[in-house]
Amino acid sequence: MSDTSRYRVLLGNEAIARAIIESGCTVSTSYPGTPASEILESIARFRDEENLKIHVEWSVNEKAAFEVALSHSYMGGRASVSMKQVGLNVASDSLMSAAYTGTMGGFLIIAADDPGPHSSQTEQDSRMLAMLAKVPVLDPISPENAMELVALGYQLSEKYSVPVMLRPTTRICHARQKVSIGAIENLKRKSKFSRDPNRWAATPRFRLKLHRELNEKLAVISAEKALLPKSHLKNPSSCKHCIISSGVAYAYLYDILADLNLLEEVSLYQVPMPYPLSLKALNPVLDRFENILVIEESYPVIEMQIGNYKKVLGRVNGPVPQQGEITPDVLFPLVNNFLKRPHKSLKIMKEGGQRPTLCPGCGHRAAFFAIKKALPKALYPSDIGCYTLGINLDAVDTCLCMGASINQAAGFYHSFHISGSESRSIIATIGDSTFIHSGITALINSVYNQARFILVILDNSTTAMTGNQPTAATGMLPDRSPGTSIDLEVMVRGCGVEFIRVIDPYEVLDFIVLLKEAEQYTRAVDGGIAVIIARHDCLMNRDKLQPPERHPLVVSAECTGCQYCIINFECPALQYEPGKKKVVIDSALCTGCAVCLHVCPVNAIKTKGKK
Amino acid sequence: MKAKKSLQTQILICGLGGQGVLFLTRLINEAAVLMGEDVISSETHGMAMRGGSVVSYVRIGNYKSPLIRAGQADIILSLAEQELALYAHLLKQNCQIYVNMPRGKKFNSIHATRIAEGLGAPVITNLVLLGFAAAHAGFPIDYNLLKKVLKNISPPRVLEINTRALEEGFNAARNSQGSTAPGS
Repeated sequence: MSDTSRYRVLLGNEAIARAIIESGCTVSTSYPGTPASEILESIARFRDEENLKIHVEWSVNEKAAFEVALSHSYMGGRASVSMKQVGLNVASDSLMSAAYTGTMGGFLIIAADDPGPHSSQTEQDSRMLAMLAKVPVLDPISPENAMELVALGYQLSEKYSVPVMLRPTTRICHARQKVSIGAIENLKRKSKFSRDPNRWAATPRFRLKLHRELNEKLAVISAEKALLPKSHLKNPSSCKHCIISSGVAYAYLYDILADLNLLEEVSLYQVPMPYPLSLKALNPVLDRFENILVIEESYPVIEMQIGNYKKVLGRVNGPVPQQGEITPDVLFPLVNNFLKRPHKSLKIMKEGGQRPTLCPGCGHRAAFFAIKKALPKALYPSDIGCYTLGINLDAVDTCLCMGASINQAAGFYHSFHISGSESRSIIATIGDSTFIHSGITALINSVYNQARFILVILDNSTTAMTGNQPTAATGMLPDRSPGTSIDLEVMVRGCGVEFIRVIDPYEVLDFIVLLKEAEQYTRAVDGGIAVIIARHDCLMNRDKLQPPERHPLVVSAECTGCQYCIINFECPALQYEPGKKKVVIDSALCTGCAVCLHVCPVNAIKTKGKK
Repeated sequence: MKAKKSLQTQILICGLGGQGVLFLTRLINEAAVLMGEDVISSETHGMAMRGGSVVSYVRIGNYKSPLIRAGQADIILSLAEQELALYAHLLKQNCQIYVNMPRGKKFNSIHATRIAEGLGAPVITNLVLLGFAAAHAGFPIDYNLLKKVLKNISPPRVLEINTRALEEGFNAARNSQGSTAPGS
């Protein structure tokens, strides 16, 4: 046992990581994704701080992460896998099956949801996926509470040999709170595989048996005392009103009721485990109160299990919006209306603000500029990452989900081809990390099924958008130590592609020529898919030792103020001065990449000291 | 331990991705803990950090949740002038407003960017603004405490310049006392 408890201010994801470590977890895996990315990074950091032996890995995708961690649990160890909610879609095949096989050592799945959404393509509720898989799910109200639920989750998982899901939301993951730090459990377990083919390799006949066993477990789990819905009041029957809630919405509600001095008048129930929900525990509550408001994010999971829509107000029949984040400003009028209290209507939050852009000097910007210049009429399927911001440059037409750019490029090709319509060129863009995540199988499929398009792999040698996590191509491990790198060109060649070129996108003119050559290849009789790897290191990546070469730039008097550069290149360092009617370079932002020299139609941007 | 009244202060910090909103958030959080307060805050991560609008909420005192409701912010620190308008509805009527902008009369404003550039590091604009705010009487966190926390959380190679930034902001406010009446 290490030292006694002490306080630290931790980000929600750090708090979750800390609780995982304290629970004696020895294998942790993840694929980066906002809002979950910091969990694995923090596990690696705490491991090193505390000198622990834990296998921590950035897996190439969530399915790989899930299965690696699950297997440690099969061997009796405690394991965790963390991901964002849409990552769980990728791992859902494994999730559904693992619920039936069950586990040995504690297995915690962290799926971070993103109501809003702030950084995701959907507002989906992972608790619903837990329900579909028949896996217990815990819904923390704060970072502090998430730590308690991690510990309870491991106990629950081992007591019943089931995977357990923790479902934080963005506001938990990216909240920072004073929390208490506990001792680290050293379980000293030796991994051991106990053969049981009827369980670990169950055929459909045995799957029925496993399903029955799972259902029996869930019935018992729902009655687990520590996870039952509980009121903030000792004697809830004394008050007239009742609100049932879970997640961060519970914390908002508590603060609003405290503000309004109503904590004694409303019984506020927290549901730590929305599935399996104990209706036995909730039935007396339902009997006692005339109307009940249910507040949860982001789908009506608790509400639909309760049913009873005559009494229960929520998303199904009631006043709670069916989409968007439930913020305190959304809740305030809801609560007042429910309690039939007069209140002033609120000013509506202004939409807007500054949209994000690619960083100054980003290689992606140069690549998109070249693509637009070379083939302005092409169709541009793209993917998930920083380069989705290519939408600002009109160089992104579609963005569906991880890896979809390549399959969509193939789909668009076949669609043009089969309908006999004039076929536009297709240029798919995908990042290096996303390519390895799920683009690689798409490329194999495209080659095999004889699609024709250009694929530009925007290789910045990192997972940039989520905070520069390493990729399999760099080989770097989570603690930044070197590992085994897998060459991107070899991967592409292995997919059956014959046209492979590598270029630095800063060489805009060469890139434009190359893109035209690639297009010829996609249309040639003996041609096929052309892959260009546009390789330039991410400038935000601190793992790179070499600072980039800098060319000090100026805008000369020849600038006509046409703003072509600002509209078509959108570099934050290029700014229009209305007074002077000219573009100026913000030297604090400019990285001196000098790509804009090729952008200005009148060549007004120059390297300092050169005419 | 003697029971003491908690501070109950809600601070909003806004700016653009890359301006150091998160660092200020962390600094204020750590300072609050040293003051013996509970603290919970909310941060912006992800795509917005690429130059988009970024906001943090810091709630010091007896709070369970991390967001600030309309009309409840006691203090706002705005690293970019144009961002202020986005959060106007969240501010209390007598909210203390500290803004990085060329001198204006409406708010407590300081041209923090220019001072930071003068120090040779535009990235420390955030600390200039914080030092400036800490010089005002109504600001709830002591300047020397902020200095102490800065020492704890700054990477060693930037500690000196970070401290300079905080000092310059603080001194700028003190030097202009009389003209803008800090604390009003």
